[in-house]
Amino acid sequence: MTDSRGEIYDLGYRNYDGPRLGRAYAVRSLVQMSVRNTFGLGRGPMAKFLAFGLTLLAFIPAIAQLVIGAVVPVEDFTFIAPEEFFGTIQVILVLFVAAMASELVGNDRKNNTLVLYFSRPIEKEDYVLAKIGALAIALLALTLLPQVLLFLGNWLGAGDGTEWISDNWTELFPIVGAAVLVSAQLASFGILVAALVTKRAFALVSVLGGLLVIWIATEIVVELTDAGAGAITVVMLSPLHVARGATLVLFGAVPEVSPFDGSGGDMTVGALDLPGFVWIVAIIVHIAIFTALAIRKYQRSV
Amino acid sequence: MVVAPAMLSVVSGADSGVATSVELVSLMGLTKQYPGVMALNGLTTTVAPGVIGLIGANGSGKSTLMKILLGLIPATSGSARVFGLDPTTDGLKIRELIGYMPENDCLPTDMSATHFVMHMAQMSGLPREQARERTAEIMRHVGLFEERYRHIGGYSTGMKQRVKLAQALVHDPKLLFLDEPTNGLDPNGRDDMLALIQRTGHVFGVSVIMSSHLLGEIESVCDSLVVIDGGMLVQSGPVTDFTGLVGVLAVEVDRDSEALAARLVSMGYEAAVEGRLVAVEVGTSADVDAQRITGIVIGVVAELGLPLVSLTRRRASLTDIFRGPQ
Repeated sequence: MTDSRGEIYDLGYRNYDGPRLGRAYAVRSLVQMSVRNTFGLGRGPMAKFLAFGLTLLAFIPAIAQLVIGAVVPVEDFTFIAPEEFFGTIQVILVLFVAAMASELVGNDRKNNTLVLYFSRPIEKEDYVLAKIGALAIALLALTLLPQVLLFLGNWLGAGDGTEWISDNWTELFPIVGAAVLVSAQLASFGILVAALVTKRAFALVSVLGGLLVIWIATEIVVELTDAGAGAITVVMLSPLHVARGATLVLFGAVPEVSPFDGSGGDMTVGALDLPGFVWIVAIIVHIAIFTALAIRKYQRSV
Repeated sequence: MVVAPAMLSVVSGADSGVATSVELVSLMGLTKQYPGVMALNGLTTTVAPGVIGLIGANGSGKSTLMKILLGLIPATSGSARVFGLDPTTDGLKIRELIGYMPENDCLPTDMSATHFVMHMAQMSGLPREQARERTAEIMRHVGLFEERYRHIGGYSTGMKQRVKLAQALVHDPKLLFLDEPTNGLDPNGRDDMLALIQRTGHVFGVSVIMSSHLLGEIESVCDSLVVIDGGMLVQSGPVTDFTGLVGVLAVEVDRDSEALAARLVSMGYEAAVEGRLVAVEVGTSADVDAQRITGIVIGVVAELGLPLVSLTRRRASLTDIFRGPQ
């Protein structure tokens, strides 16, 4: 207890009488920080490489479309239709969610930082919602931006820009709607699994395996049952199928079967021959259930 | 050391503007039942602002109590008030006014200390600019100003403890919960940490509730103590009530400790043999008394011709308190 040391400390402390912005601001700060973390800002080069690499991959279809469209002198050339976009980048989205979900909640749990967050003026559900929100916002860079780029490219490449935009501007609604719904659904699923599976490496594999294994299993079941009544239940439990159905409905594409789509996803979705709104309701129910379960998990921690 | 009465009056003066009521924390039959374990058992006490030591062995319910007061976990029965607010319903309001330093590691490793502390300031509601300023000030206050841009992963245990304290202090709380703040620190680090806590509590008017399993370690900076054992209250009150019970002089001699003890007992002192040690009750920890007895003991050792190895004033161990009158 030497006084000289004490005096060094004394230079700092002052009482604070300024504003305290409360819960909503704290949650916003957490979302901001988490989005930054997702893209590796303030972290090592490996984290940045993974996030930006996957984001770049998600842009490739859009860039290819624009480049080919500019080179090939065919009117209204379509390499990837907007409704095909999610099917094309599906695996990239799954990889991104798997890597980032465990990053977003796994570190806080592993380092025990969670207890510091919970000692702040936020509730436990705020933490979960902020993490899901942050992952969904990060996902928009992969789901929304390439589509917007494609839209802008097509507009600029059109012979008569004014005519093109007046014909196509309503496309923006499904582009935004599909991107928001798919991002929210995958984010809530990813955070839920990362919350349930404590080991980070296992969480990563679980999200990856969960989405893709369920996808493949569902494909097989639908094939075997010839899209019978039982198949509907199975498909409704598969996040990727529900996402596929919802995006196709938003772009007005169900039950058409596209010859360009090699994944067969929309064949499964189309084969069920459900009314369009069912897919939209299903994806919203998915978001609600995944979020509620994730919150429930965190209510019981600490 | 005994906290001088003058110091106490300074404390109450500094605190007068902090809490509207005299009560900082009050517990009424607070009980927490985990499956198979009674963590807290009908705890009832009231604590006034100041620096408060929460004393108990590991597993006695100290951390559980802090978590209930923060509103992080619900009590099974009974109730608690912090600043007169109920943690189960006013948790947000309470957490805005409280800083919490948990016992265990709780820091991210791949982030700079200043970045993390600023983030935590924002999580407590401080606007960005104010958060940045307060972070710089607080890093200086805890003595980490020079190292603040380094990643926390490369910090020593002592530095990590300071970052934990910094994140608990950065939003200028009215009350600090420090769970075993001296854990894992070497003697120098421990003294620095305690000096820092004392300054924070006594000079800046932030009330502190600090837990420890070693009474002797923290009593010197505390105004009052709450002792719990097995989730039950053992004793609660100003620190002066405790020191009177527990002053012990530990005399270490190479041989014949029994003879020394017997001689001291025959002279009317309370003395007991503990191996090569003879524990002599100083009766009260008032310095005059202790010095007088120390002089007498040295006299007896010399008279018996015993090789004296060491002579230390021992702070009360918990067991001493548990044996003492309640």
